[in-house]
Amino acid sequence: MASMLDCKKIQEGLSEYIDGVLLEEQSTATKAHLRSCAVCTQIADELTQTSRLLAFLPRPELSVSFEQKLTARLAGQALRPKPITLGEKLSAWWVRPRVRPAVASGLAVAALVPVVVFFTRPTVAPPSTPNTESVAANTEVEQVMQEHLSAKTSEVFGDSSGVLLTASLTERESGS
Amino acid sequence: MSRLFLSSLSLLLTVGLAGAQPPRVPKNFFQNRQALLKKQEQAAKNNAGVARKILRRMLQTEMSLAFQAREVSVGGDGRSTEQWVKRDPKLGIRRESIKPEGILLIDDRRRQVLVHQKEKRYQESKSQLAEMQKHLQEALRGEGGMLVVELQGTDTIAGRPADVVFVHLGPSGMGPSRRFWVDRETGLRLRMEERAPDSRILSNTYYLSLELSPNFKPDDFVPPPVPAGFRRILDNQKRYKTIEEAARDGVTVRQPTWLPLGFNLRNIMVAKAAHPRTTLFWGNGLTTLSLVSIASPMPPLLVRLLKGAESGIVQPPKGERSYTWKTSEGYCLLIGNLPDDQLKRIADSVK
Repeated sequence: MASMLDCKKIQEGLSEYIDGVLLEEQSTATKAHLRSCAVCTQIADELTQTSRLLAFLPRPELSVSFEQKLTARLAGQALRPKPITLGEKLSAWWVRPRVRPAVASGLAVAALVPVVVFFTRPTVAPPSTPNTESVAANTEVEQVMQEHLSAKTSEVFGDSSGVLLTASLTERESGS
Repeated sequence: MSRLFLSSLSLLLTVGLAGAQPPRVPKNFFQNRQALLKKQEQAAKNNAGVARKILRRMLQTEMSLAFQAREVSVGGDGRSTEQWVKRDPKLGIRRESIKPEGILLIDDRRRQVLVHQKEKRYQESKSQLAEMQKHLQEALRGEGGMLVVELQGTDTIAGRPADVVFVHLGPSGMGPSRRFWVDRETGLRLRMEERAPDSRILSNTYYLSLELSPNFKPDDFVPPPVPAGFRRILDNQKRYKTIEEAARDGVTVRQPTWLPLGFNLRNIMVAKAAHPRTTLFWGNGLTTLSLVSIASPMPPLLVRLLKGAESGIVQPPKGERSYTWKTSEGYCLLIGNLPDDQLKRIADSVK
């Protein structure tokens, strides 16, 4: 079973193998593995096809005046005066006389507002907005789908990997 | 001279052909042909017999062998997950995601628990292993129904010889199919491919490593306690075995008058949530069909997917192909890996 551990390692280096930039030793090992592994061979074939397609794309050519324009632009940026940032404006305002006491009193009033609101708010819960309702309804569809996939795992030729694949969708959709 | 030669040649040919007989069909030609067809039929039967034996061994192995595997599942959209699978015939199954991290599924034969770290979700439901064990016994007794199995040849997965078995609904029953790569030595499935009726690959699952009879940790198959701050979703749905049983409890069930051959009712689930819903599940050993009736307006997601229509095929991002339509109480959703026209036909027959 030791060779089964290799698939992940081999797949990581497939792109380099196809580009012919792997070390000779690694390249020989990959070649030997591909002879015996249908999954990795399929992935290698797909990568080769993609690589071939990319080779047909036209190569962008730089215009004659590109270098001149770039040099001029960089020089213009270096000479332009640096704009004053918001932070610099605020710190200049903060050192002015009478600003600090005024800000301190304002903050004290702002801190009291939530306390007053908390003790004087009505006890009835606010009605749910249409937006939260729609989110709940959409979750209902997700839950129904989860129940369906869960039932599918109990079929003789089913498997529970589908449940995990769907459960992980949220994370992958958010880019993690 | 040459004219004389050509004339004599044509004369000779005419005489020769006149005496020639049409090619004779050998006496036993038709008998041989029939024998050949019979042989082919027998070979197909033998093939199916061998394929069934391989599948039977695979199912028995999975229920009797303790193993630990690192598994990759690639979805139809090319996205993939990687997980540890631990399985003990007595204790249950544990799936723990590696990529992305933080999803744990444990089925200890009494209940199934899904812990989702990112969503802070702790979801409990009925054990699917117990249910599967029952269906497995049916399959081993040969009550496979309409499934057609074929041995497609041999392949090598990570250096290990494997038999490739194709399971489908036959040429007449257009539907989903699965292909299994079964390890010759152990009988375990090393790879599995699920395809849609239009031959699109829905998922491809294979092992990167496999360890037989490993030393499991004592708590590997024990669901963890609910972590602080997690939303606990309990399985408080009521289940019925038959429509009659549900009716005796006052549950009105919408059901189709037409279903593809081979689908049997697995159970009826009634959820008395904010939006009450009733779900009927059918299975054919290979896949599941769910009919959900919900007493609430159609959610915006489905409305958007329908593009203003009252009914139609939808493909929610986190689920299988479905057919949805509005009803007097709310809406219905028919979910299943079946051809679109079959989904529509089933939906049209719902009373």
